[in-house]
Amino acid sequence: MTDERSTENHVPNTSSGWSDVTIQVVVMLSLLAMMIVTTSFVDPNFLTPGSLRSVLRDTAIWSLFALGQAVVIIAGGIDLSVGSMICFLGVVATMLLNSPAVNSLMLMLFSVIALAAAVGAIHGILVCFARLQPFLVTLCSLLIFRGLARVITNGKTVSYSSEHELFEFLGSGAWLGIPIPVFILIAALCPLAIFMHWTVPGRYLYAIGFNVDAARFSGVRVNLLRTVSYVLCAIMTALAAMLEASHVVSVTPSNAGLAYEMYGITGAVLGGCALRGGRGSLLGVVIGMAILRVIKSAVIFLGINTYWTFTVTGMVLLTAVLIDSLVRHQRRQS
Amino acid sequence: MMNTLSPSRVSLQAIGKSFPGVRALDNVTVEVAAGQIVAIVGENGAGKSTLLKILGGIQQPDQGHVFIDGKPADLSSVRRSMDLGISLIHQELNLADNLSIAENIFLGKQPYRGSRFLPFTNRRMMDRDSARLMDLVGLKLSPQTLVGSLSVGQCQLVEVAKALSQSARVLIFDEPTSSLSVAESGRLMGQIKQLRNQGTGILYVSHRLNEVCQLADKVVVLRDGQHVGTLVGDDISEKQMISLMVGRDIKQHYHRSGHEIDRQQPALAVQQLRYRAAASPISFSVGRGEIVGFAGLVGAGRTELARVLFGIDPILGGQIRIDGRPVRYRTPVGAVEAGMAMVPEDRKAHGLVLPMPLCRNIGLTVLSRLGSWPWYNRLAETQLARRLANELTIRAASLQQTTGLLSGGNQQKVVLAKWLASEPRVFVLDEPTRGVDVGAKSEIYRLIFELSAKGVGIMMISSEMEEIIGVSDRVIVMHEGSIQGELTGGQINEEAVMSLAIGAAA
Repeated sequence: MTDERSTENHVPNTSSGWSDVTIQVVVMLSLLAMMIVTTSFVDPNFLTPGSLRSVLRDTAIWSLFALGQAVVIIAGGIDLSVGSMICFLGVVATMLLNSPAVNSLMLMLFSVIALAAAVGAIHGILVCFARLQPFLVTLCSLLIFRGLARVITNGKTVSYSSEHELFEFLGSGAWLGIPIPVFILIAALCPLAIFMHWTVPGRYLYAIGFNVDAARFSGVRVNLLRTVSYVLCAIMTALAAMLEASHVVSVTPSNAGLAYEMYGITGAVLGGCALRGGRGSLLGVVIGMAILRVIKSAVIFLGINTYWTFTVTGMVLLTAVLIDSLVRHQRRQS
Repeated sequence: MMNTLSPSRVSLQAIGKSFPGVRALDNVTVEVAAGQIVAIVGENGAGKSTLLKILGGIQQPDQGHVFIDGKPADLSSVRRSMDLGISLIHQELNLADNLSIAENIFLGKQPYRGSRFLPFTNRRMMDRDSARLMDLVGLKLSPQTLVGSLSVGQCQLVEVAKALSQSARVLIFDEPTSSLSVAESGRLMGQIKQLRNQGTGILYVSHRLNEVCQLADKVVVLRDGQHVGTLVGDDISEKQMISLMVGRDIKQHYHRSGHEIDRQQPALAVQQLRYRAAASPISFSVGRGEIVGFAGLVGAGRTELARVLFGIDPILGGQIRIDGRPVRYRTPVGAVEAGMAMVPEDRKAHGLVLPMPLCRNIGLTVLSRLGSWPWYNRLAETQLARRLANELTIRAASLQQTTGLLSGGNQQKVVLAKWLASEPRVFVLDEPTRGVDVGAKSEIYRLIFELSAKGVGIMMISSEMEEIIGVSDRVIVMHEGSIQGELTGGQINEEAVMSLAIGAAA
């Protein structure tokens, strides 16, 4: 800017370089590529179609609930109930499928999604209207739904009968060599990304995440939109729950989906979401989840004791946040 | 310079500092002697905050040197600056509400009994020392009072006491009176003078030029990062400062348009409004095109009224009419739909989403009306932002600039811009020029007058007497949660407003 005092058009519309989120996505993509190259160098079996397909399938299923988590985090909340919901909804889906009253797959799918949406709406209402902390509300759900899953199954593992081939195909099948969950992920990611980036309510969610009060003082329907974020998270979780149940075939109430809320949060943060809210991209979350899954199989292919998986994942996350924080600080200084 | 012989307590020599696209400071030299109050004045963005940040060790200069008591000083961190006896009292207070006054004063350096490895708080010693410091700043309260229960003015004094406990030899005040009532400001200024007489060097930054006139021994005027003048002793006058600050003479801040006010058809009519903070039911009206000033002491319940009118706090009873139409709402969403707009008192917490670009802040109120719902229309948002940014002469590097990086005056213009976009019928302004420089101030006034000329009803809450008297067509004075009286035309003067504000009958 040459003349600060001129009144004619003195505010140009140029952004200064790349946004923080773009940079993070690029960094994460290169990290992912690096890990894949290193692992396949040590053990070329990592690149066999079977192993790639399994990584792709797992990434797709986990990305679904991580994306839901990301929407909530962007809007300034958190959902700790994801793991328990995966278990509970998986149990419900399996039992509905086995019950003679429900003979249509569609009916089962819709009832599970509707049930999840109702739970999400309750989360939203408790957070927005009863003004409870999101952490507390969803922590209670974590306990409640894990318990409910055990109650309705009497603690026993449930599995669907082999006649439900179509349901099994959803989780375990493939088309053109690509696992079906990948298509489901794309089908869910596209509308979600369009919602977050190109619609007014989506843009409002980002504003709410940054400063909920300023958004409220601007006449934004803060309560409604925050509730929507919890509902979206619950629906994405339901999709993941059904695919997981379909792929694993059986659901064990005591450990199905255990700690998945933590994986979801890890994936979201790796993908560039700020836990304080307001920042994050959905594509980044999918990349973050891919990194998580690749770490998991890389540990096996590199011949490292699998007990190290958690430690390695934690270190990668710590390194990523550390680098991000340093880069951000540098950019602010310059 | 007055005391050329005595060494300067602090001396900033030829300081320069650049940010991308902005030369924040250019060859600025300031000297503060012991026992001297030096005021720094300038418009927003003139470089005052940068100068203070350099002294506080928060930012480092690109050029120049800082000397303390004649010796070169290393101000490379906040800690170093504090160790050298520099104490910066920020505009936003940094106190822990849940702790007592004494605990706040000694935060980080609590005296203890017992061993270093098992320290027990030495409450008696802390309270005794705090009482002495509080006495020094004129705070007559128990050291065990919780800070959360204090008024903003009292908190300000706690900050000063805290600075003194660090044996500060240079005290820097950044807009200390911007949220104080007249009486509280007076008391604080008295204390500052006393500190000067005890030999402390004081640097004082304020937009309130009348305070600067009363207080300063020397005034340094900055404009666009340049040191444009120094006023000493009898040369210090508001007129002189303003003409140096803006580089031209401002004859009058207030340019009324002289349009007709339609009081028969009020834009806003409030009848028997009851809410939690109201001592008695509130009734008043604001005519179309009328500017009604709301005066009162801090804590008189004006902000509470504004919050209720905007749907943030619940209405317990009564009626609100906008343009004659009865309206009912329980949320700001409803208030905006009914034609309300509000510039809140706390710009940073409620007015703006600071980490977002300024164009997105401007679009926030009308996003759902731009383009076809539900699609986000980036182009329309940018065009709207560009139009309003030019109309309000918002100074920024680009429309994508993070709003939090703008100066106070420009931030406030963004708040106004976002509400202009929503084309309100009633505009509630809560302290619209707080922490805003003279130039931006007169632009904000111009905007208020333009809005009123278009028939918008304006309710303006202000704690600045000059503003209340200069801008309002009518003044309503509140006292302890109810309306104490109303002044129109020739009745509006400082004495009348003050006597109503302190609770005397009209």
